[in-house]
Formats: sequence, structure tokens, C-alpha cells
Amino acid sequence: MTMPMLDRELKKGSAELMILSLVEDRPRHGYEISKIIETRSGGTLRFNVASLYPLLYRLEQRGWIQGRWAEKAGQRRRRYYKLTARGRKVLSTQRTTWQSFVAAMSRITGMENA
Amino acid sequence: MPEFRSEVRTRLASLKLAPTREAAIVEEMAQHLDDRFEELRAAGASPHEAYAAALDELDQGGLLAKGLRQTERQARFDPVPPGGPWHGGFLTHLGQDCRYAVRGLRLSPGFAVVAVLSLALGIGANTAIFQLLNAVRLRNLPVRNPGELFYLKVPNSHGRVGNFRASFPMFTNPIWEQIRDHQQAFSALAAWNSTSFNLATGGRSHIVRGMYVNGFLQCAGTGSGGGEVVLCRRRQEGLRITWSSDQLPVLAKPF
Repeated sequence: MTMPMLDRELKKGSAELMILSLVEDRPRHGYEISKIIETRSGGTLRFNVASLYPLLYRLEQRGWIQGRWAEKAGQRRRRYYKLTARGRKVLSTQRTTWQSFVAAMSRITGMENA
Repeated sequence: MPEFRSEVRTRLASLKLAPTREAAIVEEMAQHLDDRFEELRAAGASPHEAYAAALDELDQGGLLAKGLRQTERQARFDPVPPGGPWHGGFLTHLGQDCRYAVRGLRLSPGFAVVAVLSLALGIGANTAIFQLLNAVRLRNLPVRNPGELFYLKVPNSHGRVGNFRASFPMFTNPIWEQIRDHQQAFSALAAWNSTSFNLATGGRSHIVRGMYVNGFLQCAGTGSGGGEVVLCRRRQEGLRITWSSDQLPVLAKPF
């Protein structure tokens, strides 16, 4: 695998993991997901409208999340995404994989001792 | 607040998505851009700067069209969204209409049962009413030239002998015979008289309603000689009345 391809796959995998994690506890709409990612990453990671929604639709198409239009009190009608049972299994697998990957990288690069 | 829907819709046009799907995506992304615009405005950007920045994010690297092209299937046909423009002929959307109706009925079985029963009752009632109307008013009489039949009335009863106040004018038999024999306007005339007949040959009387008739077969175009026609009914029974060649009605066997 070439470096650009590896970089793309890593980003792609990490983006899926982030979104699945954020809708694990409760349904969230797209803008809320993008703001949480930006806030928790301290501005390092940002999803804009052009990159976020194609990804959301792809996850929805795979059956990992489910979007539904809903109206909450005092708010306008929005599309909320929640994790499906199938998505929960994928999330669990991806978490394990990423933890292993990060741990391996840390051991290799010596970052855990830095 | 600037309008982002048209901007999103323009950028999705090349994907040729199904209109309902496109409308949902446009709504969702426009909301996101609205929020982003408000966020930029709150951070101190001018409306123009905030609008331009939001559009820049929408256009970033052609990600939107590229990403959606991978996930969204292009519409094989062009379904009509609720309230949307209607194109094509009746048959074009017949299948979609049927599928929509079946889905709607399946979602509400109670409503479906009520709707089907209402339709069944409505169709049944209309059929019954039409059959009655057809038998009484629409269907032609079973005669040779039903369009040439006329019902005669006497407009001026002054000086004439008979009863002209009933539903049908009533003449004495001699006057009827004079009219029948000397009129020149019609090929034939017919008359009748409702009455009761005693069918018993002895003992207890057996009264049935019937009619004396004259000229019916000529008017019906079935010939001028003897004939047979049903003229009276009593419950499910009736009588056949047979004409002899001298036009006198004779009560015949029951049927």
C-alpha cells in the first residue's frame, strides 16, 4: 500500500469510527456531529458539509446508522442519526482495531515513553 | 438569512437523483449551511463573508458531488414528490400510484378495510339504482320501433264522454272503437282496462288483478293475429293472456 493510499484509508477509517462513536449514546444531527468533532479535537479535525454528509449517507447505506427526521421542542425539524445494532458491532470491532493499531504505533515509535 | 437550498440543489443537479431523495438532501445540507452561516456571523464575519465561506465549504474540492455519486443511486425513473410538478401521461405514473396506494393501505389496515367496504357498498348501491333506472326509464321497450310509441292524452275534455282526470284518459268502449277505427295519425292504437278476474271455477273465489287489452300486439309490431303477453302478476305468479285473431283477450293458464 502506498503512503497516500494508506493515509486516505486511515482517514476514512478514523472518520467512520468517530461518527459511529458520536451517535452511540444518543441520536445526533449532522451539524452537531461536526461541531463535536471540531471541539473535541481542539480544531485539529473538521468536517464540513461537503465531506460529512456523503460519509453519513454511506454509513446509512451500509446499515450502520439510521437517519430519521424528527422535530424537538423549540427546534426546527432535523435529521437525526442513531447507531443500529449492526453499527454497534462494527464500532466495537473498529475500536479494538484502532486500539491495537495505536498501541502498536506507540510501541514502534516510542511515543508512549515520550 | 441567505437562501442555501437553491445553491445545494444546483450542485446536486448533475447527479440526477430521485426528486424525493434530492429534496431531503437539499433540506438537510441547507440547514447545516444555515447553522454554519450563523456561527460565522457570531464569530464576527460580515453576512457577505459568512455566506462566501459557507459556499466555499460546500464547493470544497468537489467532494460533495464525488462523495454522493458513490453512495446515491441515480433515479431510474422520475417519481413525483408530493406537491412537485407532474410530467408525462397518465400511464407513466400509474405503476407508482398503485404502489403508493398499496403501501398506504398496508400501513393502515383498519382504514383499508373501511375504504374497501365503503367502495363495495357504494358500487353495489349504484349498480342497484342503475339497474332500477335502466329498467324503468332507460331501456327501450321490447317492441319493434320503441321510438314511435306515443302516449295519448286528451287536452280538452270539454263536451267529451269519459274520465280524463286520472293518470290515463278513460273512454267508454264504443268511443274507443271509434277512435281506433277512424284515426289516421298512427299505424295502430292500444288501450287497456285494469280490473279483477275470478279464476275459480267453483267454490271459493280466486281473485287476481288483470287487464283487458286491445291493440297491443299491433303497436308492438308482433303481428295482427293472435299472440301472447304477460299482463298481470300476483306475487310470484302471473297469468298469460292470449289474444285470439278477433282481438278479444282471453284469460289463459297461470305460469
